[in-house]
Amino acid sequence: MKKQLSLMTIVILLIVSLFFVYQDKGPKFSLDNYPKVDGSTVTIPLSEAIASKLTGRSLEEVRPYILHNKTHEAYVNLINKKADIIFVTSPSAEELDLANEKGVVLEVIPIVSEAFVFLTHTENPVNNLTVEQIRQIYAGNITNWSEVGGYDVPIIAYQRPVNSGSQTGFLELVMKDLTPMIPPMERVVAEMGALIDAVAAYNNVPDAIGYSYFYFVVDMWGNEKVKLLEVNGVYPNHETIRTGEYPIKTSYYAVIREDEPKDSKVRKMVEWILSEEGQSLVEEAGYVKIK
Amino acid sequence: MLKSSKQFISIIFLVLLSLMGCSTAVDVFPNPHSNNNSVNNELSKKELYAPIEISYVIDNPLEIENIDVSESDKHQRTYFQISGLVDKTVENTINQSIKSLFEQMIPYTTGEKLPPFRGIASVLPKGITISDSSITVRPQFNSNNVLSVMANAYGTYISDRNIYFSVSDAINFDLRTGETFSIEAFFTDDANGLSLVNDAITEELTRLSLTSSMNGDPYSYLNLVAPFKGISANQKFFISNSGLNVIIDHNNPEFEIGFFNQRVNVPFFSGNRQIAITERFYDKNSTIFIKEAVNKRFLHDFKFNKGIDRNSFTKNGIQWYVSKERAEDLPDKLIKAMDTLQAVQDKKVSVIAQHSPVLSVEQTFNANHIGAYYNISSYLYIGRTNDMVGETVNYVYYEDGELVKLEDLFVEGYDYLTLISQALEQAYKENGRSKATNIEDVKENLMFRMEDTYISFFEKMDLSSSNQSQIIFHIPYQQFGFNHLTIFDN
Repeated sequence: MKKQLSLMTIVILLIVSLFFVYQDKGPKFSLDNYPKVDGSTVTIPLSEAIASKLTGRSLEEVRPYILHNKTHEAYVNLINKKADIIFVTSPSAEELDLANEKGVVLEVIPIVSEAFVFLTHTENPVNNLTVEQIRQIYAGNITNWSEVGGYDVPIIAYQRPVNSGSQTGFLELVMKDLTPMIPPMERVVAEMGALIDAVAAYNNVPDAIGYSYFYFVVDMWGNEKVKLLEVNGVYPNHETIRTGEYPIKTSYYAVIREDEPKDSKVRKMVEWILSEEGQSLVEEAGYVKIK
Repeated sequence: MLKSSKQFISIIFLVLLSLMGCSTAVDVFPNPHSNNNSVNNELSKKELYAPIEISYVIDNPLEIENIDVSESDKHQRTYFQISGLVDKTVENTINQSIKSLFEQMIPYTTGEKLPPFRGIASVLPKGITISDSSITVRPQFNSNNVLSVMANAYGTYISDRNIYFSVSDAINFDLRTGETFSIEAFFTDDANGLSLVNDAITEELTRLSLTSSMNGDPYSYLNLVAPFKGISANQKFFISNSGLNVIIDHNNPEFEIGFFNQRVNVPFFSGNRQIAITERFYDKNSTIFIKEAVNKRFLHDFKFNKGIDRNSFTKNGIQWYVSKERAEDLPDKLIKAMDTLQAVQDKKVSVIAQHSPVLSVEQTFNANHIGAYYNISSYLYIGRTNDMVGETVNYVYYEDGELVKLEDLFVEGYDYLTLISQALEQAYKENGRSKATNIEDVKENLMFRMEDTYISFFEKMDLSSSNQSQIIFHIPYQQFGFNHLTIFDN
C-alpha cells in the first residue's frame, strides 16, 4: 500500500512538473483582453503568430481580431491611445512631431531584423557589389556591368513605385543624400483596360538589378532564377542579417507609449517577444531574429 | 490505484502524448485545402497534351430551376437546382452539393458566423447586426459536361460607418460522374497548371502594385503580407466564359484582401494552348443528358493581352483623340486592316474639314477574335463648330485579313435573309421608324459582328445620316439553327 502511494505521488509530481515545463512562459491572454495592436502590412503575419501563441488560439481564430492599418495610421492610433502596441518600421519625423505635440513619448523596441537586399539573374556573373557601387548605379554614374566586374552590357536598374514601402526604404537606407536616376518605365494595363506609364517592375534578365526587403524575397514564387547579391562581400541570410554583418540592415519594431506601467500587458508582451521562445516564433513566421 | 509498473509507464506515456498535443507550434500558413476527398481521380487516366485549340464549347442541355428563399427584400437568398441528367443519382448528388453550398453561406449573413476576414472582428462593435444581405448561388459555366457553380454571400454591418463584406465559394462538377475536379484538370497533362496559375497571380500582383496609386476601387485590392509561395492543387476556383478564375480569400493568408474575396482570371486563350476544357470533359458520343446537346458558344478572348492605347494630339488645328484596343498577338494582316480603316477615316475628316471647320476628332478602334474570326469595329466622331457627326463601322475578317461576307457564315442553300429581314423589320418598329425592307437590300444595308452566342447586326450609317439613331439587333446562332451555320466547323 505504501509502495503504491509513493508511486502515485511520483506520478502526480511528474504530471505537475511536466505540465509546468510544457506551459509557455509568455503572458496569457484571451481574445477579449488581448492588447489593441496595430501595425504595418509587413508585420501582419508576425502579429497574428504572436496573438495565436499568446491566446492559445489557432491562426484562423485570431486572424479576424488582428487589424493593421499600415504604418502611419498605426503610429497615429498609438499616439491617440487607440492602440496599445504597434509593430512597425521606425517612426518618421512627422510621427515623432505628432507624438511630441500630443505629449507622448514613444518607446521604440527592435524585435525583428530586416535587410535591404539586391537581386539579379542567376546568369549574371556579378556576385558582389559594394554599397557605394550600388549607390552609384542608382545615381546613374555606373551604367555598365563591366564597371563592376560583369559583362559589357548596360545595367537595367529597376526601382519601385514612389511612396511604396520598399522605395522609401531604398531612399533612406541606401541612397541617403543621393538622388536616384529616373527609373525604367513600362506601360501597364490599369483599371478599365487603359494603358498607363508606371515605374517598371523588376524583370529578371541577366543585365537587371532590383531590390526588395529580405522577408519578401525568400521563398517567393518564381524566384528560382533570382540570386541575391553580396554587399561589401557579405551574402544576406538569416545569420548575417541578425548579426549585422550584412551592411544594409534595418528592423521592425514594437512601439509602445513610454508611460506604460512596468508590469503592463504590452510590456510583458514585448518581453516575451524578445525571449528565446518569442524569437523562435519570429523565425518560424519567416522573419529574422533580432538577437 | 496503480497495480503494476506497466500501468505506470502507460500513464506517463499518455501524459507525455497529451502534453505534446498541447504544444502550440505555429504553422503560419497551414494548407486549408488539405482534405478534399471528392476530387475526381478518374480524370487523370485520360492523358492530354498541348497544343489544344479551343474555339467554342457545347452548352449542357440542363434545366436550371432558380429557388428563391428570400426572407425579405433586405435579406435575399437564391440558389438553383438542376435537372436533365440521365443518371438521377448523379443529379441528386449535385443538387445536394449545390444546396449545401448555399446553406454554408447562411451563417455569414445572419451574423451567426463572423466573415473569415483578417481584422473584421476588431472593427465591429459588440452586438452589431447585419442590416442587409444576399446569398446567390449561380452557375458560372455550364458547358462541355462541366458545371461550375459559385456562391456569393454579401452583407452590410451598419455602425458609425457601413462595413461591407463578401464571402465566396465555388464547386466544379464533372457532370458525367457528379464528382468535383481540381484546378489541374483544367490544363493538359504536360502543362504545370499550378505554375501557370501562380504566374497569373504574380502578374496580377505586379500590375496592381504598379497601378495602386491609380486604382480607386476600395473593394478591389490584393496586397502581399508575406512571400507568395504558390497555390495548392485544392485552391478555390470557378470557371466562367472568360476562363479559370481563382478565388483569393482567407485561405490565402499571404494576401491582404480587406473584407472581400478577390479573383484572378486565367483566360482560356492564355499560355501555350494548354487548356483542356473540351478534351478533358466533353465527348460528343456520350449521352449523359436527357436532351441532345446542340447549342454551341464561342469563347471570348476579351481582356486577354489587351490594352487600350490612347493618344491625343493636335494636327492642322484639329484636336485628335485616338484609341486602339487590340490583342497584342493580333495577326499582322488584321493590324493592317485596322490601319486601313483608320486611313479611310482620316481622309473623310480631311474632306469634311475642307467644307467646314473641324474642332475635334475622336477615333476608337477595337479588334477581338471570336472562334476563327476577328471582329474589327471603329467609331468616328467629328466635332464641328455647330454640330457633331459620327459613324460606326463593323467588319468581320478571317485570320488572313480577308473580309468575311454574311453568306460565308451559312451553309449553301440556307435562306438566312428571311430571318434577318424579319428581325430588321421588328427593330424598325421598335425604334418607331417605318421602312419597308426590301430583302434584296438587307445585305447592303447591314453590317455585322460575331459574338459568343449571337450575331449582332448594325444598320449602315455614314456621316451624313448620323443624326438618326442606328438600328441594332441580334439574332442568336440557335435561331438560325446550328446545322445551318458553317462557323463552328473550323
